[in-house]
Amino acid sequence: MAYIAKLPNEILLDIFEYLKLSSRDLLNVMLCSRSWRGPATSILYNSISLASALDEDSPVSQFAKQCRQFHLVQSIAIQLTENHLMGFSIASSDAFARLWEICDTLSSLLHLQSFSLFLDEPIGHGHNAPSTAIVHILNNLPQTVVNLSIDCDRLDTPSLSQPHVCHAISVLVPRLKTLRLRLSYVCSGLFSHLSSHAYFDRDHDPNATTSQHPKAVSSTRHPNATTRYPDANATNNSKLPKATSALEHLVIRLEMHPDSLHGPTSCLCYSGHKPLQGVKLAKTLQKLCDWGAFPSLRRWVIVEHVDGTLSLRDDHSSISTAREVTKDRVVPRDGLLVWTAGGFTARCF
Amino acid sequence: MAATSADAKKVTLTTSDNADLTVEREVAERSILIKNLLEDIGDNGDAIPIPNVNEAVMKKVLEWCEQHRKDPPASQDDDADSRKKSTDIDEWDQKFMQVDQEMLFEIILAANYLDIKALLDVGCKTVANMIKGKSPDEIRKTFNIQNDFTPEEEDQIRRENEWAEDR
Repeated sequence: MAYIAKLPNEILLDIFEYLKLSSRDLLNVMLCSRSWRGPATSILYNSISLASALDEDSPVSQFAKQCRQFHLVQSIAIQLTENHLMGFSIASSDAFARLWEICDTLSSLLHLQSFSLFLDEPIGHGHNAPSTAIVHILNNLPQTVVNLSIDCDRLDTPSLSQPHVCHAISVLVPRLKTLRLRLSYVCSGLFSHLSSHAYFDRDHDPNATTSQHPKAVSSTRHPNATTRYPDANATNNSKLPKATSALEHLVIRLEMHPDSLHGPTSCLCYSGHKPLQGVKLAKTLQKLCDWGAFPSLRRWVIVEHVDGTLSLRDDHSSISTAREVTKDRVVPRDGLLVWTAGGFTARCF
Repeated sequence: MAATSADAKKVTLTTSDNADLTVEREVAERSILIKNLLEDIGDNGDAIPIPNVNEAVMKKVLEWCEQHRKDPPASQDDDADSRKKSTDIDEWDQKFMQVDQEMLFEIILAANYLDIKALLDVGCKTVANMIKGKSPDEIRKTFNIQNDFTPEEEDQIRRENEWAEDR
């Protein structure tokens, strides 16, 4: 007698949950009997991770063509492999065919909540990921996505004629609950949907130079820069966030490699490789918080990581600096937690 | 009831086959079901009926509760961490779970009914470890399951899930 048949589905789910690190095991379970197929299928499809490639047999491609269970997917991680990125770099039509497959698949995942995009760990400096591709992927995410994680430290240099990753993320920011970013280019575009005054790169923002420097205006009006927007009904309505964001957790990681020409460095978009400063970013975020753009925010962290291990000179050590603000616990605005010499090596992702 | 005497206090549980088992309250309270019952009805000394668990299984479950009586209660954070889902089982628990399949699944059902999360986890991990690395045929053999798929259905399942094969 099959004693295991006594177990109800909820317990089978608990058991199969322990097998989810191996889709091979789940597949074998699925093939055992009709009564096991349902629970094993729901675990396998709940959270999936797929690698892209150029050829039509890549996991992404197979998934796009064969999958009948799109409605079960709640979380998906897509890895853009070197092979696929290389395809983009030589403008291979296959690379774009695979990209459209990814986009079509994503837009069919009607219950998707979490999306994560990451790149291969390259041998050598690796190929760059085209911003256009990332933007297309982001634009095709279903409305249900509330958790977004992008780990993409080899974006190509943004150009004004191309769709811009920061703006694509910005469109999503109002409905996101979790956002984790590690990008080689970031700019104020990231929060442009919340407020047109979200400048952490004002010196380089074309709008800012042409307009009347709203920050300067506001600071003369409010000597205390942290003043919370008391004159809402006055002329300064532009400071009100245009939209609020559902964000609860926000992590942005900035990378610096002092000596490496090809290594990841987080730069301001359109600035000609000017590194992005965590201080400015933190101040902008704090300001947006003060203005009420993030009513649900519980915690945000900006990590600046200087990787000195590749440095030819001796005067760079690996340093991670984290600026962290938690809603309930008042952390001083400039409260810095500093780890040196590899004391904090875990990646944020 | 004075709080100081609460720890040493005993409770009696009546199993489905009408056996009375008396244990220390702290041990019995590893079961959230029993803990809540005692809190709701108050401990008036009456035996608590456990109609879904027989004596042999209840003894086994209480043996586990005795061993783990001092474990800290599971917190919300544990739950988030355990999503990584390691199937490691500590040595004592492994030995404890070396029972025939009938008893293994009875323990799991009892842990589920009595709401003893940690014991349920150990049980599920034990079964998961019996499945890991086995082919569908080997799994069916292990648990004495009948293959009720037609060859066509099997083919279709394999086809639909080819993307998952190599990982």
